[in-house]
Amino acid sequence: MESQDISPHSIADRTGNVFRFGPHTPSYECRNVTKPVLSRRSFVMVLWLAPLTLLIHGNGWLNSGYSCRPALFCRKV
Amino acid sequence: MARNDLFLCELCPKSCKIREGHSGDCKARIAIDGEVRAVTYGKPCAVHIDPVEKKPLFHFLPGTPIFSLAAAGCNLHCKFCQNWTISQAAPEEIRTIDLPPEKVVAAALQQQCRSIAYTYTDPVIFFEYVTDTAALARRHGLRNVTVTAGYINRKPMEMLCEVTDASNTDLKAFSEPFYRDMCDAGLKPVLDGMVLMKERGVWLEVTNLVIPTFNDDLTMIRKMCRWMLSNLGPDTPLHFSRFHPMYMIRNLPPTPEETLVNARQEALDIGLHYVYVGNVFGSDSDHTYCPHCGTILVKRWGFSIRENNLVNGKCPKCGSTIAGVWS
Repeated sequence: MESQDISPHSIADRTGNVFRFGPHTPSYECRNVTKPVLSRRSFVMVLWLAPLTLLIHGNGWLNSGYSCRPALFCRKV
Repeated sequence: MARNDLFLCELCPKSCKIREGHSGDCKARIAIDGEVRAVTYGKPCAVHIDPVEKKPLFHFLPGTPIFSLAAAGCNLHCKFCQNWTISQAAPEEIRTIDLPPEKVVAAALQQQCRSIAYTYTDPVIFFEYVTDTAALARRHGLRNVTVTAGYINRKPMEMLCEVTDASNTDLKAFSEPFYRDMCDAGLKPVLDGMVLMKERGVWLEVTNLVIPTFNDDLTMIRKMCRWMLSNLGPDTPLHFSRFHPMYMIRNLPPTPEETLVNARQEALDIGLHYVYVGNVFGSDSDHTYCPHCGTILVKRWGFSIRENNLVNGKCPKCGSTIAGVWS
């Protein structure tokens, strides 16, 4: 069987074609496989975004739903 | 709470029987945890600052901005509704903002509005929000305006009158079948409501949207004007408004201007003093004329005031008192 190039700088598709990336290719494309789901940079960003989002939308979220005033002129029958 | 609990809503003549977890016909009152709740309370879906002439109110603080808000839902389902995207929507279907009564009043004052309008949809279905906001607004020197179809029971209407300074009420047609077939409502409660408002000193103006082939019959219009003359008096302004194809009635053309002009002439001949043509820009029928000497008192172009010749609510030429709330 023909061996496939499995170096970090190549990707093989199911047909066995090998796509090679030149030195100008951004490195993250090739390192995606081993990259953690959330990089440290993204994690720090999320840490900042979470309270910010809560600050902007929190009031609306907390007050949403059916927590509003009892309706007048209504009675149980 | 038992799923079979049943609640009766006596706010409007529809008298909806609401089962736990369900809403009334207006979609804005829902039975939750053993009680019916006004779910649009403090959550308007439209907030604008309009000229008061847009309501339309022509004899109420002319030329002033009015803080206007609406909540989702309606107890009528007019096939020609001009605001159907919010009036026929359930509260959870459209975007709302959080604006409790205190914030409404603060915003109106900050924007230098002299009054607040509960409009676009029908204030009847956000009744609790209206009454609370209006009472607070009064304490801060603001006036309250309802733009309504007036399809409400007597007791809540009495309560509404206590906090309302002016109202533009839609008289959709002078015909029960029209109200039943086109609006899913009835005429009589609307007429009773208008008489009550008049009795309680609410400044009342009436709008009649004239729809080709449906309610443009001059015989019906004459009947409506005669009823207005004898029950609301000649000084109640009447606005004949032009229909534009909308919602379920897109197959009809806009109302011809001639129809509106003819309707206005009939109303004037019957004895109503102030009759206007709406949704037609640049018409002479936009102006307020002295019913005694014919002098132009308030000259308008669209929603803007070009001249206001009134002197302390009186005609500058003959001195007649002109009905309205002028200051």
